[in-house]
Amino acid sequence: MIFTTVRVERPEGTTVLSGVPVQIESASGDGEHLDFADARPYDLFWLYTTQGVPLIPLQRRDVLYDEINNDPETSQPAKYRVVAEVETFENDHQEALCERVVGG
Amino acid sequence: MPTLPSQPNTFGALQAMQSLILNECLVAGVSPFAALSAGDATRYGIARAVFIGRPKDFADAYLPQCCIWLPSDTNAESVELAGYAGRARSTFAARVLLLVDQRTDWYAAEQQILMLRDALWPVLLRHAQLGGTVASVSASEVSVGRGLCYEQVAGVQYRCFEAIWRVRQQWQVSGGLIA
Repeated sequence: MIFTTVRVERPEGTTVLSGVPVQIESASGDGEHLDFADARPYDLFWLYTTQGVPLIPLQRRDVLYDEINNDPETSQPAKYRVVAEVETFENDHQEALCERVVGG
Repeated sequence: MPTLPSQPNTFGALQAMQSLILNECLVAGVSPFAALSAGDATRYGIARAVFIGRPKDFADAYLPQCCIWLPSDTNAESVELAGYAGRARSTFAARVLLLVDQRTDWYAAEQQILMLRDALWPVLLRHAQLGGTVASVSASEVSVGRGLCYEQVAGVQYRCFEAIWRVRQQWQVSGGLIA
C-alpha cells in the first residue's frame, strides 16, 4: 500500500486534474491477468482518494499517473486505468478499481 | 522468373497491409483512424492508429483504431517445402480488427463501424499481392472472420469488425534440401 498523488487524464493524453492525493493497494495477489486476446497483461489495484472527492470526480476509463512513484518494470510513472464504476461516498472519498499493464 | 528471396518477410507483409489500410481505407476522403500522439507516431512510425499487433497498453484515446495481428492458432498458418531444390511456401492468416467507441452513443458507433467496414472491404479485395512491394508475397485473399462483433478491453465494451487477410509467401531455401 502506498500514499501518493495522481494526475488524471480523460481521455489519455488530456490532463483534467493533477495532485490528487490517493492511497493505492493491490487488489489481487494471484499473478497477472490477461485481456485483449491475451495481448494485455495487467495487475489489479484499488485506489482510494484520501482528501475527499476530487473536484472532477474519477470515472471509468480515466487514466491515472502516479506523480511520485515509477513502475519498477518500465521506470516510467506508474499508470493506472479505471476499469469499473467508481464508488463515491458522499463528500468523503472515492474508490476505484484500476488496472496497471505489466511492463511497457 | 524473378529471383526468390531467401526467407519470408512476414513483418514486411504486415507493414504492406498497414500501409494499404492507412492510405486507401478512407471515409469521406480521409483516414477514419485516430491520430497518434507525437511520441507514439515516432514509436510506431505511423501517424494514425493502424497497429501491427494488439497494443499491450490499449489506449482508448485512439478510437477508431485498427489492429492487424496474428493469432495464436496453428491452423491459421502453414508451411511446406515444394521440392528438393528448396522452394518453400507458407501462408499466414492475419486478423484485421476494427474498433470503435460506443460508450456515448451506440447508434453512432453502429453507423461508424459499418462505414469503416465498407471502406475496408475494397482495400482488402483489390490487392492481389499486397501492392507488390514485398518480394516474398505471391498472393493474398480475404474472408470475413468474425465479422461484426464486440470486444471488451479494460472493462469497456467496444463495437468491432474483424476480417481475415490471408497471405501466401514463397522463397528459396539457400542450398536446397540437404541431409
